[in-house]
Amino acid sequence: MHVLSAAEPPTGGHGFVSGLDVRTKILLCLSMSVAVVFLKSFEPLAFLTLASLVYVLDIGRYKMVGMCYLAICFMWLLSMAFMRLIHSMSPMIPVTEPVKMLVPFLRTMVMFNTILALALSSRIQTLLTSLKSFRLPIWLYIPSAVMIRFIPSFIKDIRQIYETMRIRGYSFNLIFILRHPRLAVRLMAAPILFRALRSADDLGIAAELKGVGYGYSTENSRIESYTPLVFKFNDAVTLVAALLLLIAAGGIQAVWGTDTTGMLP
Amino acid sequence: MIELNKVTYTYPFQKQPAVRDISFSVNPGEAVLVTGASGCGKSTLVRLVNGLCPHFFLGEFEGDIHRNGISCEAQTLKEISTLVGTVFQDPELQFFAMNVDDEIAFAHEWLGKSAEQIRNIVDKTARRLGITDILSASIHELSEGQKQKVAIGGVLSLAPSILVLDEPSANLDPESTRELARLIRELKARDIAVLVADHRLYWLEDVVDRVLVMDKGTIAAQGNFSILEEPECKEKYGLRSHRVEDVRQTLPSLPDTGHIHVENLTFAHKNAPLLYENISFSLGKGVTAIIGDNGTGKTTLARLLTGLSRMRQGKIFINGKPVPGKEVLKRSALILQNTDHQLHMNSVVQEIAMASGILNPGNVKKEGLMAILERFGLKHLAERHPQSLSGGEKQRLVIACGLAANPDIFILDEPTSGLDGRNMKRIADMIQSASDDGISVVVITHDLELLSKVCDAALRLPITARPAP
Repeated sequence: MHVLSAAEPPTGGHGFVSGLDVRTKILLCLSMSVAVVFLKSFEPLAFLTLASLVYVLDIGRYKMVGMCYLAICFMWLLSMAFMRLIHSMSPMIPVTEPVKMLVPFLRTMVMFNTILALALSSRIQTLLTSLKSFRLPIWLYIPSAVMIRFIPSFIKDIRQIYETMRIRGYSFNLIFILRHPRLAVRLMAAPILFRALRSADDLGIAAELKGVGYGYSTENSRIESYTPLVFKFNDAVTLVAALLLLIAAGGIQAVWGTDTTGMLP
Repeated sequence: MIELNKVTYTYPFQKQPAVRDISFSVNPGEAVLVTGASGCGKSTLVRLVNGLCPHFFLGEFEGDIHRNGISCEAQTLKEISTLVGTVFQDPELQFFAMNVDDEIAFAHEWLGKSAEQIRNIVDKTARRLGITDILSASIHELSEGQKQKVAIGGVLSLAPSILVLDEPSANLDPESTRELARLIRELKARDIAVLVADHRLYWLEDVVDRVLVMDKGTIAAQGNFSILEEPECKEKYGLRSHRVEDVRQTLPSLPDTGHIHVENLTFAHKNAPLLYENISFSLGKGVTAIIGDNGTGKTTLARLLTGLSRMRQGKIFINGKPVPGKEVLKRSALILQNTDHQLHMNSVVQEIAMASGILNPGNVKKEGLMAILERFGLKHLAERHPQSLSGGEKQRLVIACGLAANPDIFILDEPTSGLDGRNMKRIADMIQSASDDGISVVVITHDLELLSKVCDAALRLPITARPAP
C-alpha cells in the first residue's frame, strides 16, 4: 500500500484522486462515514457504493480493490449461509433476503472505497502535515501523529516477526492458527506488545526532550505546519460533487428507500 | 556547562541506588566519555544530565546538578530540554515526522515559530551538517549514519549548550563513526559541552578530553584516554578495546570450494535492477564476514542464503548436494538485529523449546533443554521471562535458539551492537564454538572488534560474476 511510503510519488499515478489535497480525502472519509450511519436502505447505499467505487478505481490499483471486494463478498455469502443454518436449527428465526443482507456490507464498501483511496494515494508525511493544518489540540495531535507515523514501523515489525517464525520452522498459515490458536496469538502478540511498550516509552521521552508542548503553554495554542497545504480547483469540485451525491443519496432514501437496517427482515 | 555534585539517584520501587555519590563536570568546548559494563549506571548518568531522572522517571534524588550555572531544583524538564540536547542509540525512535525536513522543523513548530523562521532554521541546519541533499527524503530511506546526522541536526537546531550522545556508534559503520567523531570535534570548537556514553572506544581517542569509567553505580576510574590502555582496567570493568585493527581489507577472500556452495545466483528486488547476476561462491566451515557499503545487499544475501527470499535463478549446495529453497530454510538459522522480535514465550526454557521445534513446551523433557542453556551460560535464567533479560542475555538467548535447531548455515546480523566488552567476548565465543562444531557461520557486522576476533574470511560486496568452479 502506498501509505507505507513517505517520500515516493503516489503509486496511483497522476490521476485525479492522487492530485487531490489530503484534507479533501479525509473530509470525504468523514462525510461518508456519517452518511452511512443515516442511510438505511439498499438503494441509496448501492448508489454511494457505485459512486465511491469510481472514486477508488481512479487510483488504478484494480487488483487490490478486486481482492478486497472478493473478501467482502465472501463474508456476505458466509453470513447468508449462517443465517440459513440458524433458520434450519430454529425455524422461528426467519431468513433475511440476500439484498437486505447486503446493507451492512454496502456500508463497509463505501467506507472501504474512500479510506482505500486515501491510503493508496497519500504520503504519510502529507497526512501528518494535514493533521497539523487542522490545528488540532496537543492531546489529539500527538496520539494521531504517532499512530500514523508508526504505520510503516508496525508493518515492518509484523513482517520481521513473521519471518522469525518462518526461520524457526513455523508456517503461520490458517491451518497453524486453527491447530494452535493460543500459540499463534502468543507468537504474534508478545513481541508486538513489548515493542509497542518500548516505543511508547521512547517516544514519550523524545517528546519531553524536544520540548513538545513547551510553546503550547506559553505563546502558541496550536501546532502549525511550516509547509502549508493549498486547496485547488479540483478539491472544490470534488467536495461539491460529494455534497451533491450525498443529497442525491438522501433523496433516493426518502423516495425509494425501505425502512430496514439489513439485519432484520 | 554541566556540573554534578555528589549525586545519588534511586529508581522508583528499587532499594539500591542506580548511581551513588557522582561528581564530575563537563565544561564548554569539552567532550567527556562515560563507559563501563552493562548495568554500571551509564544510562542513568545520561538521564540525570538531560533531566529525565528524576523529572520523567521520578525516584529519589540527592545532590545537585547545575546546568549553565542554574541548579536543577529551579528547572523543569521543558526548561532543561532547551539547554541539553540528547541523541539516542537508535535515532529513528525519536523521530516524529517521516521526512528529514519535517523532523528538523518539528520541535520549532511546537515552539510557535513562524514558517519563515523555521524554513531558515531547517536550511541552516542542513547546510551545517551537510544533509541538504536528503532534506526531502523519508527517514526510512536513510542509512544509520544519515539518521544519526538528522537526529543531531534536529537537536542542534534548538541551539543547546550541552549535547548528550547515548551509544552513538552502536549502529554505525566505521566510516559513519569517523564522520561522527569529526562532528563532535566541530561541536567542541563551537563551545558546546559534549557527554558521550558508549561501549565502543576506539573512535574516541582523538575526540574526548576525559574518560569516566563506571562500575556498580559509581565512578570507578577517571582520567584521560590513556587510562583505557591499561589491560587491568579493560578486564576489571568489562570494557572493549581502546584500539581496534580494521581487518576488512585484510581478511582472506572466500575459498574456491566449501561446505556451502552457491551457484549462478541471480536476484533483483521487485521493479529494481539486478542486484546479483550469475554469481557463484563457496562458504567454508569457519566464520565468514559479509562486508560492503550500505545498499550493496548484505541483508538480502543473508535472506537468500537462508531461503527467506527466493532467488530468481541459482542453486545452493550443502555438502555437495543441491538443496531446494524450502529445505534451505529448514537447514539454516538467521539471527536478526532486533532481539525483541524473536522472543515470544513466557520463560527462557520455553523459548529454547520452541526454537527446538517443540510446539508444546509444557510437555517437554527439561533435561535436554537445560543442557543447551548450560552450554550458553543461560541455565540460571531458565525460568526468567525472556523480555526481562538484559541486552547481552537476550542476544545470547536468540543465538542459543538459533543453534538449538542444529543449522548448517548460521547467519547473524549485527550480533554485538550495543554490547559491552564482556558480552561481546561471550558472543564471539559462541560464534567460534558454533564454527568449531562444523557450522558455516556468516556474520554481517560493522563491529571492527568482532570482525578481528572471530572472522576467518570475507565475502566482499558487490560481487562480480565469476563462473562456477
